[in-house]
Amino acid sequence: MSASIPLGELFSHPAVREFGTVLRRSLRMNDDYASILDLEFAETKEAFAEALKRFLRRFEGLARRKNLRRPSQESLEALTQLVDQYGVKLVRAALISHALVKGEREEEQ
Amino acid sequence: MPYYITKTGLDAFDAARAWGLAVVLNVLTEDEVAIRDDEWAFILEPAAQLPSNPAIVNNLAWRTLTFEQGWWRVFITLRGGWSSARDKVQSVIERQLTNLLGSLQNLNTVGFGTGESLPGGLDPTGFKGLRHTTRAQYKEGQLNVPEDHWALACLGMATCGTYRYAKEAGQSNWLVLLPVPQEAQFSYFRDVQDLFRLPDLKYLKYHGVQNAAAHYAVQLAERLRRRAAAQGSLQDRYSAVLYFKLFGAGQQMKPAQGNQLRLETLMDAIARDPHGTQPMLEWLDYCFRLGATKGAEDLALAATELVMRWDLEAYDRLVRVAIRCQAQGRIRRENLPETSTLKEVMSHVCIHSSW
Repeated sequence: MSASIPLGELFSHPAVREFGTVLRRSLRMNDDYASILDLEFAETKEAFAEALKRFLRRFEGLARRKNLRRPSQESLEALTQLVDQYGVKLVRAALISHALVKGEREEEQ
Repeated sequence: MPYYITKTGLDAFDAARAWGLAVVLNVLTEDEVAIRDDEWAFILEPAAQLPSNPAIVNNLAWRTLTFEQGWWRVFITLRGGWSSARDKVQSVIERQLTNLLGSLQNLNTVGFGTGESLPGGLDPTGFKGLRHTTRAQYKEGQLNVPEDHWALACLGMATCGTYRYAKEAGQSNWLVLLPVPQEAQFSYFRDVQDLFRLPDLKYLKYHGVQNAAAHYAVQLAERLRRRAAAQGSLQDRYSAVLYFKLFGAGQQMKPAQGNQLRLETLMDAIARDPHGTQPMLEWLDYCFRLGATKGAEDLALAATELVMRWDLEAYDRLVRVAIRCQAQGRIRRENLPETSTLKEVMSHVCIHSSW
């Protein structure tokens, strides 16, 4: 596992940004705090994948209701590759950071 | 002509002596004094030449120092009698000024064992024993330092140290903070006090001395940032904030829980981009302020951890706790960080290879 990529670059990675934005929407529009907790407790790649799966399942309902864009398959694959390359903790920190930023006003309930 | 404050290993004593000497040189020359940390010593160099026969007794700026509020706090472990201790400090400096300045121009060492004992409000590591007669048998030698160095240290702590009263669980405590200069210009002691003293925020309830020190570090960094932004670059650098707690122990106040908070990360951030660091410092300050309110203690502790360690674990924790506060409706939208703010914070987070 390498950690030569700075956290900021990982944060700006298109796949992390896409998933992070969806996570933020899910949190603010659907009170999906459970996904944050799932990610928080994911220590291994398998647990992280499982947390992502549960998060996407929860998001699906919101996406249908509000006609929101789902994350693309390419982004999911890229995110998995990033986890393989840099480890769960770094990717998780970058991903969760997107859930904290101000974002767009329509995300507010 | 440089003056040397050789380090003894007692961090607060050393830094306080450096500040004390800066005050004396500033009062005598009425001009700037440069302070530089050179690992083994603090080297002080006044911009103007000292008078050939320096006398400080009738100096107005010197006499006004008598009214500094810091004096009784430096001697807080003495209970009564702080004003006579203050007078002694001033008379020692007035009497021994020529000899003291002469000896500090050469490489010197501080001999322990004789002289005055260090008060607890000055250096927690040098404090031992009780300061008044008790009926119990309690024998523990005081750490004595030469009178002139003791006086310089007390003067430095009274003018540049920060004392903040805090009541925790019914117990009276004082939080004590002292910045360690790395490369700084001492222009005027009131100006330095403006920089070092915490604003009077009585409503802020800190959760321990580390929390107070971390918030103090962020506030100090913000003041330095403002100066750096106005001047174009960071002129004064501080390497650390020394902090310790004084707690009421029945008979007297006693020092406890001391350490230092390194400021390199914050100083480097300001030096690199004084304007770009503003949102980061404001957001950290907000975390400390929100963390001082009931129910958000986790946020204060997470922010403290980040400012102290700047590692991934501390960053991750702060973000998670902040998200929880946001989900609880404690953080309004306008107080959430921008993407660029978080990126600035991330750029200072140290990633260990094991992660």
